[in-house]
Amino acid sequence: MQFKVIFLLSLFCCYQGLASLKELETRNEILKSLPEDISSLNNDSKVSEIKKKFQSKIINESKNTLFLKYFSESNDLTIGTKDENLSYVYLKADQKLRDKHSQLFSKIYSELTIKQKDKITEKMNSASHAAGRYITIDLPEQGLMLEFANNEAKSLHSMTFWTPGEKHP
Amino acid sequence: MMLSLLGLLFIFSAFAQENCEHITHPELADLVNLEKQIDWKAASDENIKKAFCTRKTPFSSEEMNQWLSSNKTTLSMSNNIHGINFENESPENLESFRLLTSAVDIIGTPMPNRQKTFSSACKKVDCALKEIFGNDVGPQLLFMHRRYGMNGSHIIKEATQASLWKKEELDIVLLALSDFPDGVMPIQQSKTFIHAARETDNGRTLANAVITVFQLWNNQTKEQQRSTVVHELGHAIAGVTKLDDSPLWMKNSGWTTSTQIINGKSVSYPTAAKPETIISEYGKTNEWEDLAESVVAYRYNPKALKELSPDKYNLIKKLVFDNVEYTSQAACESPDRLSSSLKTKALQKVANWVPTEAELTQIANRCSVLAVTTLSQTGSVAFDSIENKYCYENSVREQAADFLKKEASSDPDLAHLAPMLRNVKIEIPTAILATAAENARINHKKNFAKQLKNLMATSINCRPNFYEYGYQQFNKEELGMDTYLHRDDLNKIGSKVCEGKSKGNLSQTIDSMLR
Repeated sequence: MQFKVIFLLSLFCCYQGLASLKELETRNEILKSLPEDISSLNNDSKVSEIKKKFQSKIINESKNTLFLKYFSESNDLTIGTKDENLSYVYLKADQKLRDKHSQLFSKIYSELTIKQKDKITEKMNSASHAAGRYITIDLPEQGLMLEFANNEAKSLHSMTFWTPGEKHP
Repeated sequence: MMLSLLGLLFIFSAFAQENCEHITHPELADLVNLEKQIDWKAASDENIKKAFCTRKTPFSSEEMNQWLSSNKTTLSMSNNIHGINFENESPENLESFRLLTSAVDIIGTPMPNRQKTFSSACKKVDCALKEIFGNDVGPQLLFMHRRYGMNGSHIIKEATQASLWKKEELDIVLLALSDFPDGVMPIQQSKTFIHAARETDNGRTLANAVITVFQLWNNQTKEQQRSTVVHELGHAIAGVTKLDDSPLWMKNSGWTTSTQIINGKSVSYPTAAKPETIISEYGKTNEWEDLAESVVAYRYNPKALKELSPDKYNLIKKLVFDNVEYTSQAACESPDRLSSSLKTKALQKVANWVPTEAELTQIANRCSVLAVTTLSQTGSVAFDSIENKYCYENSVREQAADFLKKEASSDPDLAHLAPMLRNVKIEIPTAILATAAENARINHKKNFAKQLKNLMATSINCRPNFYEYGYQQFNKEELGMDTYLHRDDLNKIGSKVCEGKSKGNLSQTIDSMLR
């Protein structure tokens, strides 16, 4: 009896583990493609440590935000902080990242729910001059927000990540 | 006088703030400086009226018909599209009809559940479009789509998103499209260009990059309507070339844009170190608006742009207008086009071209969508059909265009131009074209069969009720195409494969479907 319970519990844990792996699939895929010093940032990262780590790349800072020139463009990386810890990371994709994720849009879009697609439609349809340039896909359960160019290539423009399960930054 | 100037400033600044909704612009403070000249617009009505090489009258039906008939292949096809049986129609018209009547979502993904079918005795596309969109607008939409790649159909969108264009509105849109040199458009096969539902109006937005034109656009003068369309097309071109947020562009006015995430939204803070190099007040909004406004100025007010920023002028000349200048009638009538010199170099390479195996696969893969669609509709596909032959030949031409792109990529600045070279026609020697198309056909038949077998073996299980959810398996890049976009067709093929599989094996079943 005890063995059965343990067996069922392990099965349940395995299932949960696999399910959460699946849930975070896109996030993991994205983080894997980033330089290690960026992908290793998490909500335990202290501001002082972050500043030390990226010392040579910080070009500006304001309250709760560090602006960096990480790849080749000014402000291509933004690190948001809150209470002396990391809050979020915003990264403008360079050509290398765009090429690496050239199929990402169709893959993610195919897995969105109707509600999520409706949200995108609503945003794109808004009567604002800025609407339509980018398609924003918000995946809060993965702590991930992605922007894609609204053209035939649907190339990745930017990504923002924060701790999965936590509120939007 | 002073009071009316102040009043004018108030209106302008209110308009500015509402238009640039997500950003506050310190530059707008300049507007209160009465000594500063106010140039909200990149070109005045007068500039637009006097601009060189612009059409003064709308396209007539005769002109549109003449262009349509002289820009098609000699091939004729019969096909049923969304319920209408077309006979002896050109493939170009059929493709345009399909795109003007296929329901899509906001990003262009097919929406089969919203797809309308039509009932009509028409055998020709022109006739059917007149029935659907009206005698004037139907032919205008066909012309706009075929010549400029702009899809103005409101029926492919939800009723709340778009409304039927009016003839007079399309007259202006077409005039604006004709303000770009031949060959710059289409920038993509089918770019949405709709008029928003008439009741959708926030009273502050003229248009956006979808491209959607709002009711406020109708309140402008005809000249400003025309320049608004050119402004939006400037954005659309920049969206393809990625010019407007490239260092190449940003350095001209010293643009830097930082981004923060606030309440789940990305908020940008653009600043220009050299605002005096920006052609209009609205251009000071950010680097994107700077480019769109510069495109308007380049076309209708070129001397002002050239004086203000020769570097921007030269960049737009090269990367947007294919070296065509509008500073005088003579300049735009006999331009020395950049694409022509690239084409000469590409033609030298094409003259001795023997496509490699990888190139043949790329050529063949462009025809996979046609093969999948035919297979799902008829249960079989003949790789040597007229439609397929036409597809392979076109694909060879597209492949040859890569020579142009490679020429362009040799210069880092010109790399931005590469996506714009899609319309340059490379004349391929007949023998090379025929051999390449035939070899692509052989390659396609072999590889398509192999890949379809793999796809079906891994994606279908032929259990009852599978097809309700089976489409979820088609979400990858296979057969040289995005299977998700064609999941319904692949599902139908899967169903046919399962029927056959019960009588034999999967491989034999698929082989019997492909000829």
